[in-house]
Amino acid sequence: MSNPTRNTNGIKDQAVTKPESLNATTGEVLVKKSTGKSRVRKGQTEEQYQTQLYEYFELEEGPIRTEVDWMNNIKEPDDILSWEKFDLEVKHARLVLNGVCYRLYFQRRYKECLEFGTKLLDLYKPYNENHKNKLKKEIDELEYMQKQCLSKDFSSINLQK
Amino acid sequence: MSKHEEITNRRYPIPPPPRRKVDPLLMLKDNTKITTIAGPMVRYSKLPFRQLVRQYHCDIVYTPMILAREFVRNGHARISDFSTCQLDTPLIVQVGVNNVSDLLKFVEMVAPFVDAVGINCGCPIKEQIREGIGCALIYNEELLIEMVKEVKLKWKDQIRLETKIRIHDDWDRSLKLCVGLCEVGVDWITIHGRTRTTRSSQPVNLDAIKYIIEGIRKAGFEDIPIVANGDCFTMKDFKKIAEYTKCQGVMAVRGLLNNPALFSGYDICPWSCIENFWYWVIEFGGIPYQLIQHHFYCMLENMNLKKKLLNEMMEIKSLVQLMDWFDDNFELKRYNNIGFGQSIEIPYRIKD
Repeated sequence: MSNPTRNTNGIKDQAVTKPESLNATTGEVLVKKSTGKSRVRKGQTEEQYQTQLYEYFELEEGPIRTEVDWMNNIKEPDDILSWEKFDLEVKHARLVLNGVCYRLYFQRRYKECLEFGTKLLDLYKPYNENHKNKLKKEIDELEYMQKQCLSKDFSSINLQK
Repeated sequence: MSKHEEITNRRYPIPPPPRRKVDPLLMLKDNTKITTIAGPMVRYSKLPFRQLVRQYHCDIVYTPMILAREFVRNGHARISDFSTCQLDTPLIVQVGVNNVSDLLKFVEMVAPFVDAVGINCGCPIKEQIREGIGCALIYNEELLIEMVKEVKLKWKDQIRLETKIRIHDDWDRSLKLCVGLCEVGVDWITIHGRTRTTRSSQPVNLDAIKYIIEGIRKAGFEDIPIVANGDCFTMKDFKKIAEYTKCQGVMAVRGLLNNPALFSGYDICPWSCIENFWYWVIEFGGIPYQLIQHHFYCMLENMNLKKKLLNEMMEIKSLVQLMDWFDDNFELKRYNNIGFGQSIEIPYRIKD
C-alpha cells in the first residue's frame, strides 16, 4: 500500500489513498478502509469474465431496454419473470412487475389494473408467507391500489391510444 | 503482451462493436453553438430523467456513475444500474473505476449500447475516494493517464472517452494532468471548478477553468473540447460560463435536477416538466419510489409550490398515493390529453 498523499490542506481526514495493484490482469487491488485496515478487492479471472460476457450478451442480450409502450405487451406476470435473472427474489424484478400495475392505474384503466394486481397478489402472497413477510410493503400497496380501483368508475375514459 | 491484448485473446462470445448513434465529439466541436450537457447525478440520472432533459434542449446526457467492478462481475448490478431505450441518445455512460483491467472490460460491455464513456475523476465521496475511485484519480495521475491510454489504444476512434475532473489546489497540477490526458488521446475533458474539499455552497472557480483551458491550448491541443461544470442554474449562468472560460460545452447538474427545462431558457421549472416526467416514469417503469419523489420535490420546490403542499407530498409513502395526491391537488394531464406537457404555471385544482 502506498502512503497517503500528504497534501491535506490542514484539514483532518483528507488524505488520499492510492489503491495498490496486486494483479494488473485480473484487476485485483489493495485498498485501505476508514479503519486503517487494508482490504483486497478480488480480481476477475479471464474465465470468470468470459462467463459474464456470455450471460450479458447471450442470455441477457445486453442491458434492459424499455421502449415507450413496452408494457403494452405484458399480459401476464410471467412475461416479465421469464427474463434472465428475473425472479421474485429480485427487488428490481418486483419493481418492474408493479410498474405494469402503476401504469394501468395512472392511465385510469382501473379494470385492467385490478385484474393484473390480482395476478400479482396471487404470486406475492404465497412467496411472502415463506419469506418472513419480505413483500409486505408491496402487498399493502397492491391492496391499496385494488381498493382505489374498486372505488373508481370503471367506465372512466381510457386515455391510452 | 499488453493488458488489452490479453483481454482481446479470449474465446467466446465476441461482443458487438461500439455503436455510437450520434458522435458527441462532433457536437462539441461544432463552433456554431455551445453544447448543453446534463451531467451525471448519483442515483438521479436514470432513463426517465434523461428523456425529460432531452425534451428541453439538452444535447448530451450522462448516466449516473456505474461502478465498473460491479458491472463486469454481477448480473444483478447490471440490471439495477443501467437500462436504456432507442431514444436514449446521445448517451455517455459514466464509470467509477480504479484499475485498467476493469475499465477495459467495462468499455467492452457497454460500448455497443452507448455513444461514449466518461471516467469519473470528480466524485468527492470519501468512501469512493478510499477505493481509489472518483476524485482520488486526480491525485493518481499516472493511473488515470494509463487507463485512458489503454482504452484509446484498443478502440481508437471507435469509442469516445471523456474524463471529468475536479481542480487541484495547484491549478498547474490540473493543467499538467489535462495535457497528459490529451497526449494519450482523451476525446474531451470536463472540468468541475471546485477542488475535492470545496463545498457546493461555495462558488465555482471559473478563473481556474479558464486558466486550465488556456494552458491546454498553449500546449498545442487546440482541437480537444473542454466542458465547464459548476453553478449553471440559468441560461444567464450558461452564457457567462461559456463566454468567460471559452469552453465548448457547459454541464449542468444540480441546476437541472431542480429545473430540467433550464436549457430551454426557463428560469423556473415549468409545470410541463412535471407532466412529462410522470409520463416517462410510468412508461419505463422500474424506478424506486423514493427517487421519483425526490425528483418531484426538487422540481416543485423550484416552482415555489406552497410549503404546506410540499411537506404533505413528502409524507406520502407510495407511488399510487402520490398519483392520487397529484390528481387531488392539480389538473395533471396525461399523454393524449389536450394541452399535455404545455403548461407553465402550477394548475392548482380549486377545492370546495
